Amino acid sequence: MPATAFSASVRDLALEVAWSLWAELGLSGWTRRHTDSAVDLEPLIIATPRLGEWDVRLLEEAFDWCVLNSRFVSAVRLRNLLGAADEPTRRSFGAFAATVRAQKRVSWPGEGSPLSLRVTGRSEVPDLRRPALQQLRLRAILGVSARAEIIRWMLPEPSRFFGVTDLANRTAYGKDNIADALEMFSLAGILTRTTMTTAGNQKLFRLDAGAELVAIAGAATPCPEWAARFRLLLGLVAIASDAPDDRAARGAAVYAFLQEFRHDLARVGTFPHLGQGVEAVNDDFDRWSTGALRSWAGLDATPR
Amino acid sequence: MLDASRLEVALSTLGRLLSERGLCYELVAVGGSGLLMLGLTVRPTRDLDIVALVEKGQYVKLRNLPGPLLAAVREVAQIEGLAPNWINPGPADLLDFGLPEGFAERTETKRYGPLVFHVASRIDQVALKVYAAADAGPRSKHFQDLANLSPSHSELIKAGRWAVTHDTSDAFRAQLVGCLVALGVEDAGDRL
Repeated sequence: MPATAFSASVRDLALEVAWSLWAELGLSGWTRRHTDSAVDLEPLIIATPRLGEWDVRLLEEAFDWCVLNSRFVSAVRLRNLLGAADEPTRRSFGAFAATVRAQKRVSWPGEGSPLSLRVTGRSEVPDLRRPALQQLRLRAILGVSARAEIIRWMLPEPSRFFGVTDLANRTAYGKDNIADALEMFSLAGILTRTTMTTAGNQKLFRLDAGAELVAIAGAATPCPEWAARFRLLLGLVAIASDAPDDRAARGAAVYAFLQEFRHDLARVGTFPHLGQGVEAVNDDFDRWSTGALRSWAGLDATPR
Repeated sequence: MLDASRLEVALSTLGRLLSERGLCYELVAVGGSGLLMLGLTVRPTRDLDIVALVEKGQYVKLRNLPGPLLAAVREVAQIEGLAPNWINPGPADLLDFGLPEGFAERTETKRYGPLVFHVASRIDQVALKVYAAADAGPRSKHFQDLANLSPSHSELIKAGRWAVTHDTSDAFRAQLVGCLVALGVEDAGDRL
């Protein structure tokens, strides 16, 4: 695929991902393809201003939603996730956050001058009964807190033991915050605590009141690793737009991308199988990128 | 392993990367890959041996490849599925005691964009291989390469005289004589 066509395709698919997720949250999008997959609000909000550079309507509608529904948003998670974002994303989000701050009293992180976005008034309070909005439903019940995020991640896997570090990584809350919340849940009988001695007396926790929580919060919805997905997605947009024209140099950029995003690729559980040689590396990477983005947009099955 | 075709592809890729980055290097190549580059062997080899960097027309000894070149070499290794050190300055110590006289004038130039190789000529490869084969023995790849170059007796003697300047020990001289005798120079002991 020619570089410009690939770049346009990646950008379109990235926008498809964002629009579909925002549609679950109540934006007036044409299609909702994530009805059975949990939306993760803060990674979406962080990525949207960057993607909005190619779609002003997305930016404007998302802004309107954020102004109306800022009470659902965790400024702590925004801050923690923003720390792992690349510079262009931080810059775009900084201006977006400043625009929201100009309208609502929120402590969103980021530096920048407000954008000239208008409140369209088209947004509504999201329908928290939607399976995809389990995160917001839990926040409505437990507060916008580490506790809501812990339950969100533990509910789909009630028999699994989780460690503090693992949950801190998944939830984008600090370890102390997570450890404290887990202890409190444990005291309340929501979780069972055990100690794994083979790993240096690591404390592990398992959901003990899954049925009761499901009765309150609804059936568990699968939680894709949206934070990692969005970092990869924005990385793909960047490499598609900025990679050198020369195919050999682009091949080198592909390997640099895979090295830079190796942890996110591991979290998401997908990795391109690249053949040998300049053309194979480029073609295989492009094929994998498109497949991954289509899958994340809900257009295809999970990529290899 | 690198055969002539893979080596050519890898060097072309490396040249493209360096060109993209506005970098240029001149390197002096010896060894099995040098023979491949000149079409003097078909034996696949693991790496491309660099004996020197050329700066302002002078041979400069390398401990390591220059950083930007090393980075590009490693990137090509990923793309082409080669060992990370597929180009390395392994034989750089040869410069300490000097290359055969007239080496630089006899090199053949190979260009891959901004990447230029000065490849040791056949006669100098004979000298380097005599030195390596005497050290490594008759079952070594060096001895095989040397035999494949079909050197004349006078070329072997000339190579042997250069080799003893790098190692003046009696033990090495004995190995060298053995190597040359094995290649048909029966009176090597007298002629060195």
